[in-house]
Amino acid sequence: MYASEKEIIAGCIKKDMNYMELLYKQYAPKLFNCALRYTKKEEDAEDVLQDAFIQIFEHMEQYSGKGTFLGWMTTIVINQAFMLYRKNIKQIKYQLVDYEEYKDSLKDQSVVQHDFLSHQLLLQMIQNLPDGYRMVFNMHEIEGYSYDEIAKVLECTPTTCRTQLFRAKKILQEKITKLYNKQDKH
Amino acid sequence: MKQYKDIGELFKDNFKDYAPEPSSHVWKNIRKKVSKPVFSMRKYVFYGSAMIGIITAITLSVLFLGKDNTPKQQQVEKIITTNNNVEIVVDETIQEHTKAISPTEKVLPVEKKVETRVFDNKASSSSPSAKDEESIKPKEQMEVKVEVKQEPQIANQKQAVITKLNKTEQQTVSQKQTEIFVEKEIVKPVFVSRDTIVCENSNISLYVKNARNVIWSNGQTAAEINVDVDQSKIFTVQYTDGNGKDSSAQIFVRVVPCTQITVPTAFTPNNDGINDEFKVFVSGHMSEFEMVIYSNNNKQLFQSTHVERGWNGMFKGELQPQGLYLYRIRYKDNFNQLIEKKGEFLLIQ
Repeated sequence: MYASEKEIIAGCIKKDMNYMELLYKQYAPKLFNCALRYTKKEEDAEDVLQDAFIQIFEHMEQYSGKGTFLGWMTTIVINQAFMLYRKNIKQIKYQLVDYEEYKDSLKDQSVVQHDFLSHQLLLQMIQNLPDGYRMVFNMHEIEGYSYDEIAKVLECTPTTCRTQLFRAKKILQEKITKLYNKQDKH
Repeated sequence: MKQYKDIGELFKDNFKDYAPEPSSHVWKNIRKKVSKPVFSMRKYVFYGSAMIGIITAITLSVLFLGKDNTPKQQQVEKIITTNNNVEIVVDETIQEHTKAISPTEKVLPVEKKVETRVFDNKASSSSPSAKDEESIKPKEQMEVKVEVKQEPQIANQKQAVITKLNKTEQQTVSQKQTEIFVEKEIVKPVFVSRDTIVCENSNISLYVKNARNVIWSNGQTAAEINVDVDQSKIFTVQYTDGNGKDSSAQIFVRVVPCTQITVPTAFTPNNDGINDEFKVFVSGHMSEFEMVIYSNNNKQLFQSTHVERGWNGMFKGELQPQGLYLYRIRYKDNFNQLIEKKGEFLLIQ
């Protein structure tokens, strides 16, 4: 059965279970990708995805048609992930670090991907980041939010976001370099 | 080898087309939760109408308290119709509610009766105000009965209520009390799976909710059954609904061919006519096919936009060495959804 995005949206507003299932089947994998990146483990990602879809179905009529439909749903997934994040860490202590401290170490940010890196491996790297770092890294680097937007969501200053992002990137860069060094030795 | 300006870019690029399949219980949970509010809302509607019934009954009983009369005893099904009895029958069509709330399921016609009967036997003894009436109640053995039923086993319960009514009625007559009956019968509507379209050889679950004595055309008797479907079929189900009526429904399951691809894990380019090319096998409709083959160090060796055209193991006129190679396949399936598959395969010489 082929249905256009508009038909699916209309069907979901009418709460037609067939269209709901169609929507889920079409978009769940893409959104699961997002949910996985924002959470620590797969079970959490599944919870986030589940809650996000319930929200999507409940508020389907609020999608105004501005921006892509996938983008709109992604925002909901991120919101759900953030709710979980806030539940897990009731108090986030941001250590204010001087940006200057990191300036030098980040001069050379280039990275070489030698061979096929599995998603599993990359995902693991992201999931092992500290919670705050993971949020900022995903939002800024992959979803493309600005520092100001992230600061609003995470309730911190844009400078803190930037510091956290640089730390996250540094950790990831080190991990990838280490990975290749290990491979070279063998 | 791929050079990235920044670590973020590396991750962004790698996750761009990543679409992992979440496990199946996620959808089951969502389905459960999404259809849940339907039932709770219905409850509210029912309780709401019950409340209205009670209020009307009390008001009317107060209004008619002053009148004096003697009731005749009657068979219960058509409860008491004496000279000065007041009988209110509120009929609502349940379908209106259910259609608005749950458009996903077939709703079969159901009767719903909200009947409020107020009758007044001897009012001269009781005082005219409602407050007093309540305070005297224990002494005068006044009874206010409210029956709200929502169970599917209506038939039995109805009987029970009827006998109850019979008893109280007799008491009423002998003791000359004022009685208020508010009776409400709600029969849950029967829900049956909708007609569906599925891929070949898939397993689907069909169900009948709020029904008894279920028999499916394949002989199964469970309310929810799992069936394997390999061709379009009509399933018939016979059941007894909440009103005790025997009924049946048909569910049409249409089978459509779905895109399925099989990617081999190895090939032998030795010109023996067997498995000399690396290509995918497709069943069902497919469009915008693209296959790219990379060497172990991410060098692109081959590209094809036609399913029938496979790789013969050559790159720039040279047969590539034995080993592991990578493929990336993109296509649109019969739902017009872009699918991407990545993986590895062996070249064996």
